[in-house]
Parts: sequence; structure tokens; C-alpha cells
Amino acid sequence: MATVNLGAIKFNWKGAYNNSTAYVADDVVSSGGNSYVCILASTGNAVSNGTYWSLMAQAGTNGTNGSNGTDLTTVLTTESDIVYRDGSGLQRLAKGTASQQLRMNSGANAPEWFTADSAGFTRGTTTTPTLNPVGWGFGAVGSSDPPLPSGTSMIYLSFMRVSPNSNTNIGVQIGDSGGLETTGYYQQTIRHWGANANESTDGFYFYSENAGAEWQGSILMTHLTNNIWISRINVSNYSNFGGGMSQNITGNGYKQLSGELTELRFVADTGSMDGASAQANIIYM
Amino acid sequence: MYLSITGVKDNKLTKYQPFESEADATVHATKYNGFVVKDIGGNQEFWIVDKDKKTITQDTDTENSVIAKRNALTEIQRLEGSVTPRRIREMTTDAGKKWVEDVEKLIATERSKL
Repeated sequence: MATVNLGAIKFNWKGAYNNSTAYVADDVVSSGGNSYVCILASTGNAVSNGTYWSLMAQAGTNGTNGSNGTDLTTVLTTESDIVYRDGSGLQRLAKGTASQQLRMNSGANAPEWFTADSAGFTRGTTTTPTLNPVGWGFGAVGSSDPPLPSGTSMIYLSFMRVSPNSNTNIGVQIGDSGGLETTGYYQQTIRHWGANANESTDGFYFYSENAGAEWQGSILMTHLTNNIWISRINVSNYSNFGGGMSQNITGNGYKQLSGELTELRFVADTGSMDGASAQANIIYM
Repeated sequence: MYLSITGVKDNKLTKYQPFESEADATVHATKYNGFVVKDIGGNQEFWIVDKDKKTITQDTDTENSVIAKRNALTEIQRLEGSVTPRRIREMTTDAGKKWVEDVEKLIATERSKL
């Protein structure tokens, strides 16, 4: 039996409707986002006229901020904007500045841009501490002493010319949001003169046995696990430089907090240090 | 200066937070089930904390006793450290021997304080 090849059968696409064009049956045009097929030849009859046109395909609903879609153009208004969702809906985050990085904010509920330190550290306060009478550090006391941020795992305190006005322990007490802890430290130090050792249970302390000494050095604290912090003390007596006996103290210790570390204070055991010439800085990450 | 006392064990301070204002300290103490006192200064190691009366007092008798013993121990360590190998070598002389004997007497005096 003979077969006839009809080839590809298709609509006769005419593009956008034009009221001056003569259309014949099976011509297809677009209008208002819809497609229409001509069912009766004519000229100048709009696609809304059902005598001449049948709806072939209807446009979808325009997206809006609602259940049937999202119109991002109402949220994103400026080049490089970013969109995110908060508790109520979509929000715009304006672009950051050059080299800024994206991170979650402190409430962990929205992204934000921040400028990272070039070394990758987030640095703490650099200041001349008021060491008398309560010490200096992070947490409470005043609005200038915010808590250390959650996730801090290393703290490096450096200082110079910190001078006690009596024989006393000097060093760091740490704590969680409930406050500074005054017990449970296991800090051992050795003074490199006379082979004298010292132990402290109430802070990461070293012992200054002579009032008037001016201590310079550092205390490094690193988080091990389960809120256990390891300390490393390394100081020397500035007032003896260039004469007198060289006095150096080194030591290690640990302390387990009951919660995440947020509080830290640089203090003297007797609560009194001369901060007139002292400088101190804390770097944390 | 005000303290929010949030930890006490056997009348000893175990946890606290200092504040510049009493109001701030009260907020903290309320949140962490503590109480507020005015900072009395001094060595916290020798504070007697009364949770019921919400007071802090300095145990000066114990402090003086403990500090005296610590100072004696420190002085003993210093004296012991002063007897260097050179001082021992010099004990072959009368002057050297006397020097070490004098140090021993000083150490004995300090030991009597312990």
C-alpha cells in the first residue's frame, strides 16, 4: 500500500497580533502573553472576539509576594543585593564593601557583611587598662567590656609594666555568662631564680613577691574541650632590666568552666594593681 | 563597684561578676539566682560569704596567718636558692662556712613561722 509523507505538521505562527494583517484559519498569534488560533479568516478582529479566535495557551499568573509566587524585584532594588528570609518574609541585604565577607550575625538569624582582619583574627580591645581596683577584661562591669563572643577558642593577653602594690598573685580569672569563677584552677609556675615554684587554685596566676615589680609578658589561654582551658604564663620583671637580678616566671595550668567562656578579667589577687604606666591588650579568635 | 555573687560553697566565693552599677548587678544576680553586695576589696580568697545574710566579710585573722606562712615559705625558698655551688665551694674557708651557717639560721627562723 502506497504511503504519503505529509512532512512536519505545525501551526502557522504569525507572531504578535496585528489588526491590519489578514488572518486565515489555523494562523496563530500572541497577544497579552496568551496565544490564539484563528478559526475564521478576517482582518481587524481582536483576539478577544470568539467568532474569529480561540484561546490556545493562557499566560501564567504574575508572581507576587504571596502564596502564588515571589516577585524579587520588589525586594532586590540595587545591584549586588542579596535576598534572605527572616521570620516574616523576604529581606534585602545590601551589598557589602570591597573585600568584606559574609557571616551570620550574633543572633544567628540573619546574614551580615563584616570586615575580617587581614590576619584572620578578630581582635579584642586594645586599651590602657584601668587595673585598680577591679582589673580589666571582658564581660560586665561596663558597656565597654562586652562578653567574649561565643566560639572563642584562643585568647592571648599581653601586657607591660603591670605593677602590684603588695605581694600578690597576678593573672586571669575566667568565667561563663554566670560570672567569673574563683576556684578550680590548677596553675603552676616556676620562678627562674632560686628555683621557686608557686601554685594557684583561684586564677591563672603568677606570684609577684615584691611590690614595685613591673611585670611584662603574656598569658595564652586555649580551649581544649568541654570548656577546659589551658593556660601558658610567661613574664619577666621590667623593673630589673639593666640591673639587678633577672626575674622570669613561666608556667602552665588548666581550668574547666561550667559553661562556655565569655568572661575574662586581668586582676591581682588582692584586687589592686597600678595601671598608671601599664599597657595591656587581648587578641582572641 | 558592685558584685553579683552567683556561686558560694562552704561560705567561700566560687563565682561572681563585677558591675559598675548596683542596678546592672541586680539584673545579673536575678538572672543567675544570685545576690548583690558592694565590693569590699581585699583578697577574695579570704572572704567569708554569707548567702543567707547576703554579706561579705574579710577574714583578716586567717588572711594574716596564711600570708605570713606564705611569705615565710617564699623567704625560705629564696634563702635556699642563695646557697649556690660557689657558696658551697667557699665553705672551705671560715668566712664561707660562716656565711652558709648564717643562712641556715635565717632559714630556721623562717621555718618557725610555718
